[in-house]
Amino acid sequence: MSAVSRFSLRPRHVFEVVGAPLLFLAAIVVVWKIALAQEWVSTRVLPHPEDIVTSFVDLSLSDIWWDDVAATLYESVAGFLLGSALGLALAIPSGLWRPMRRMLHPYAIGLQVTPRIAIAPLIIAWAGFGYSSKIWIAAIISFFPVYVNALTGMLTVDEESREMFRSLGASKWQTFTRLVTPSSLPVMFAGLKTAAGLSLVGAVVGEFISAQRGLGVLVQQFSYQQAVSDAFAVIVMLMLLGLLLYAVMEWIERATVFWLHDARLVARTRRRAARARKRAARGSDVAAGSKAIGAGQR
Amino acid sequence: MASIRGSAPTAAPGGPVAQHGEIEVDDVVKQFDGGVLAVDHVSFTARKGEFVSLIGPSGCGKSTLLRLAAGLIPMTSGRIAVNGTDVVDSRQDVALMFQKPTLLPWQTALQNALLPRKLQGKADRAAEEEAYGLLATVGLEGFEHTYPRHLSGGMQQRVALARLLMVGVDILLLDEPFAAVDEITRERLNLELLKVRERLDATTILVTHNITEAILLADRVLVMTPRPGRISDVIEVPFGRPRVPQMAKEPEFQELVFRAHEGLHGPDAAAHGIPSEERNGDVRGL
Repeated sequence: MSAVSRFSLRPRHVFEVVGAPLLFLAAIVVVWKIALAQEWVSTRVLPHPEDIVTSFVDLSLSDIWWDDVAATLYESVAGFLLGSALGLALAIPSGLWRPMRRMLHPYAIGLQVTPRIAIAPLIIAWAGFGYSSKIWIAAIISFFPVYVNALTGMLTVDEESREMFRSLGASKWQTFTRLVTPSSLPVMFAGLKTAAGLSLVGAVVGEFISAQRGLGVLVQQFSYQQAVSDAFAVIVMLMLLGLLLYAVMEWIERATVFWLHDARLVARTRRRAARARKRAARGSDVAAGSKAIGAGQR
Repeated sequence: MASIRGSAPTAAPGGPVAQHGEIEVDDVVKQFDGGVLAVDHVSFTARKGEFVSLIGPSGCGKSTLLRLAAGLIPMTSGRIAVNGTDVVDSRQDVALMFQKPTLLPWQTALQNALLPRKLQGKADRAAEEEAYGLLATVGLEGFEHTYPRHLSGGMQQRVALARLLMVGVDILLLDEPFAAVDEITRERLNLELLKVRERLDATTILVTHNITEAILLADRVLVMTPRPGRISDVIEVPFGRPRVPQMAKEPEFQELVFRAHEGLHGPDAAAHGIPSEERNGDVRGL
């Protein structure tokens, strides 16, 4: 894996990361235009790409959709946080105690396989028409990936490492904090990233069923009004929001699970070595200085 | 240079008295759930400061025996006493090293070496200095702040060796620690191990596949039979210390190798000639 950071600005690197998807987009646009020109599909179903861009720009410049963007974003993030917290709250005891796992696991799976669309109206009846029903739906969708990944992470801790900790006399708490938790983080973050995207879906699903604000509401309105390019622009905005949430999770993951990323490891090694050198230099300065100067400042 | 080994345990009326630094294995049997008989009535005593090698083919129970001595797994029957007390659960007065380094990937070499002290709550500046020193001893100077991902297998095992020494006890149990390391590094690490053991007067049990290594490093070599594991021979190694690799070429040494083969395969195999791979001292093919 390349040691260059994802966020480097080297020309070649920028080309690879940004250029490639743009190239793909260009190819799609070409096929798109051909499809419309050949009338394989009508503009009522699939508008021209430039119309979508125009709609997007218009909607952004006006005041129309920013409230809705904020609303949907708020519902997703809140739902994600709630769902993740619940996922962890069930996963951690289940990972630590088998009886707990046996008790809870079937219900977690049950929640997952029950079609959320069926549950949603019930939630709305219970939580009302405000934000909370959307947040709950987003939370329910986010819950399972986080739960199952955190649980798996805890259960697949390297057996030899566990043995090593035992042989060193580590307490259960030490083993949990110093071994199990860090070991589980990579798998857990995979779950969090999935949940981040899904929470957006949950929020929009909730909005479809009943809401006054939000991108889901907007896309429904535009569809009824036959404002197809506007509807598509909303979809593009949703996609961008999803990418944003995912990117934020990725960024957090890289900072937290640093040991899987060469660039981060190299940086940390350099920093630690520099700090150690400084300490050593200071230490020898003090030693070289008068003995009257107080105990080592290291 | 002849060395003087610790005195034999004095026998009290009820039985031998265990001393500090001693490992006493008494008629130990280990049968796993599912019926596998790994260790079948094994008895031996390692005296303080003694270096005992345990050799045998794969699956003969030697690793199991080590884990039993460390208290990591329970015995089916029998008794093991370490430092005078019976082994009932995982022991903190022994230091272990396995074939896999099992370093924590989110910590540097230095942090990994400090782990035993951190778990004990004694990871102060002095401990850090000690860890620096040990890492330099095993040849990792300059790599203290490197993460395992950027260390080769041999280097990781050297960190594990430093970590073993940081436990600060004088009983070392080693399960083929250098099997996955290249020959050159392995030789160096073995000699390092001998130096350390000398300095600490540490009782050491080394499990290995390599007959030459087993004989070269040890005071006594215990030869185990294939599963179920029993001790078929005990070979006293009369060479003085410090040991040097050249000793392996001496005729007396080769006789001991021969004898070890007899213990492993039975007398007929030794008479019919030893296949070339095994002549190099490696019984891994068995």
